[in-house]
Amino acid sequence: MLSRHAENLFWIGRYIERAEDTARLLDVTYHGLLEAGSEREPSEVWSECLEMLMLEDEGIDTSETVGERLIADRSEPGSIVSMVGRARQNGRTTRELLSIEVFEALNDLYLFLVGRDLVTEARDRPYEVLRTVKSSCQAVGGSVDACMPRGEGYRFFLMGQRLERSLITTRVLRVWHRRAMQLGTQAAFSEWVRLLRSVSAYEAYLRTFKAAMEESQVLAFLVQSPDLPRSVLHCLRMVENLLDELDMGDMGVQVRREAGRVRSLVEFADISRYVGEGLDGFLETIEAGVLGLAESVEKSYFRPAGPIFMHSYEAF
Amino acid sequence: MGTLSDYVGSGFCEMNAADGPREHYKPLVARFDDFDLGALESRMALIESLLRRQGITFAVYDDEQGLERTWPLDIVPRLISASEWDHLERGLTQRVRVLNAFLDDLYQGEQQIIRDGVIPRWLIESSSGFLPEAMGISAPNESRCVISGIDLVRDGEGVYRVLEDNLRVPSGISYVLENRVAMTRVLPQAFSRYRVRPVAHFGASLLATLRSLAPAGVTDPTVVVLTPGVHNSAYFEHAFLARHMGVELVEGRDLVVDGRIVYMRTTRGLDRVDVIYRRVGDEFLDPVVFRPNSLLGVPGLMAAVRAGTVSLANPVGNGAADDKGIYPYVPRMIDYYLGEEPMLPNVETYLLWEPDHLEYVLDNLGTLVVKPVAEAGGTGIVFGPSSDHHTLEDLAKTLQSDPRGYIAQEVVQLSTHPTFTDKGLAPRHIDLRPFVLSGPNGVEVVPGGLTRVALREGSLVVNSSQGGGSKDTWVLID
Repeated sequence: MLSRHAENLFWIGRYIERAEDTARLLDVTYHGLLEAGSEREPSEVWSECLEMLMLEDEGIDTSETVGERLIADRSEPGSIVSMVGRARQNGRTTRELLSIEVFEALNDLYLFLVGRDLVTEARDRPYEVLRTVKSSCQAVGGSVDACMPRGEGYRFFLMGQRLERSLITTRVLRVWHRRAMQLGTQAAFSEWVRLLRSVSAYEAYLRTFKAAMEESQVLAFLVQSPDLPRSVLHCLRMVENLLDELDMGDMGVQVRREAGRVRSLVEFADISRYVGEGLDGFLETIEAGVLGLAESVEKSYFRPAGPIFMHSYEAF
Repeated sequence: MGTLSDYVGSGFCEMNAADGPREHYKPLVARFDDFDLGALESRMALIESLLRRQGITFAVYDDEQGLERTWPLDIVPRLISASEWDHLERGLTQRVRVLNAFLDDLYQGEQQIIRDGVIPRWLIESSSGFLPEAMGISAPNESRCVISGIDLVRDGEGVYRVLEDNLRVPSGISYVLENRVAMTRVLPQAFSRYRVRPVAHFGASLLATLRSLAPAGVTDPTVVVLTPGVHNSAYFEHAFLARHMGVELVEGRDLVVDGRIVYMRTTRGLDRVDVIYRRVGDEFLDPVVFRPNSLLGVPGLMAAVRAGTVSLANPVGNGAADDKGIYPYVPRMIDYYLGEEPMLPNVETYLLWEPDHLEYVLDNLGTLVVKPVAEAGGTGIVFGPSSDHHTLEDLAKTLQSDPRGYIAQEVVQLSTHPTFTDKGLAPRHIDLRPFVLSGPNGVEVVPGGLTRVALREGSLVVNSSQGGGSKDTWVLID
């Protein structure tokens, strides 16, 4: 497969995952604010949200309209509409590799966003807009699963999606935990709910552990659960399998080694040791590991260097 | 009441003769009697949503702003009878065979046509489409116009004429195929009354044609489509063709030339490429040979072509044959190479470097149409009848200072066809761009082609970039 196409599919996976996660986080943040009433300063809650999305250095102001802007502002690279626009643009350049259903799912989402007064709707009924974004992103993933042949294109899409997902889960946990440490008291039940909802793990947690919020248990669940599709471990195992299946011979050795290293770091960590002060450092290591892995994927498969690119060309 | 049986045409009407509908249109008229205007309107809306959902668009400006236009397809198909098509097919075959022979003579032969004084040398050498860089590059089976689009119009008397030849990178074939798919979904009832020649095999035909161009010794060639990229207005078509042939769609940056061999960059390293169906213009193909600032091309590509390790379709230099200043000589070429009469006449054309032509043109600018010789897509055309005094005065000066740069033609009153408009079904002017392949088995014409419609009342401009629409074109089987 062309390197450029592989890279495009990898990034469609990342953008769509990010758009879905952004929608989920915004939804949770809106609701958190409503439920918390006057307890918390809204701008502070929004800064946390930006940090969870790794947008803290983008100079986004956290005034009242930040939620709408993160949905509808085209000039904001991290907004949902911008990310979906880029995913679709990538989709147009790899259209011949996507099955028609995948492209249509992507296009439907894009047309939903640009075909209306999104700013007004994001302000007046954010819940509905965000819910449509989430389900449309899942429709893209679903049509990939249902319609794309299990070749390189499929695998690079999934790899992008899972790397992005593991990053967001790590980040959400990290930001949430840092704040809990600052407060110094045991987190309120509603705060635990907010954390779990941010990564779509609330109901799964209740079914597994009942309504008992125990810190090391929640942490282990989000980091190490082998069954939770948004746990860091689940995502990284998937990435590792995908790399194995790609079977790139020597080209892939370095990346696979790196994937294995990060995954075992997550899998075999004794989380109970990290409860309290140590967790932030642990999560930081994981985050750096995942970012490094994503970079290695790009370097190895999309932009391999070689003497051939230093050629001087002959005219005739 | 019937939507088509009450229809009153204008000019040369494709559907109605003086005494009512032509024979081959009668079943269509009867079918449309089942629909009232509301039913047609809802079907038009369905077409629009079908094409829009699938992203069948053109003229992309800034994609981030969501400003693509959905491809406009009209609900009333254009019908061509079997006997009419037989005439067109033979005329097109004759024309493309001759254009192939001419280009081969020019670039690889003895330029016999010039030596014999049929076409003046200066005319060819002053053509911007004539590329000395293409001299000596061979083309298998004389396939120079591997894929061409020949624009036909039907004049006030109903005579089909060739308006222009497009032999470089003609667009539109993807819309021919998509129009058909959309029409079978939206108007299935109409098809049941006709037997229509299929167009769906085009991808396979094109691939077979391209594979036949493989360099000597390559038995299982790798074919790719080369596109300038997603911002090109015909990008949809480039992707469409790659998908329908099952081959890679590459951009210049995906290709690399090493040791006069072309490779593409893949996740598993470099893969050799044998045939390139390129939709990048000649001058952008190779910055080493042509425009040095082009980022769309592949440095070293022409050296590989010249070494015979890779084939281009269409080959470089075809612009010498579709130059509008050379167009008037095509009937003479047909006589010269085949000893035949042209089956499809040209439109009356005036050459401004002939003093008597120039004089006539300057005296009659207000009734003529003037076109730059090397442009495509309707760019730079001036219609005398709809231009003001100042425009014509400026034009007269331009023509006198650059007679080789322009031609003038009589305005052809294009035939009209019933078309869905906001005022119901009304006459609109149409043309026809059939697509022709030149391959190992000779010349093959795709049944029908792209019928373009000037959607504005009275307008003769059908180009989609200037508000034109389209129709599905049915070639009927007797």
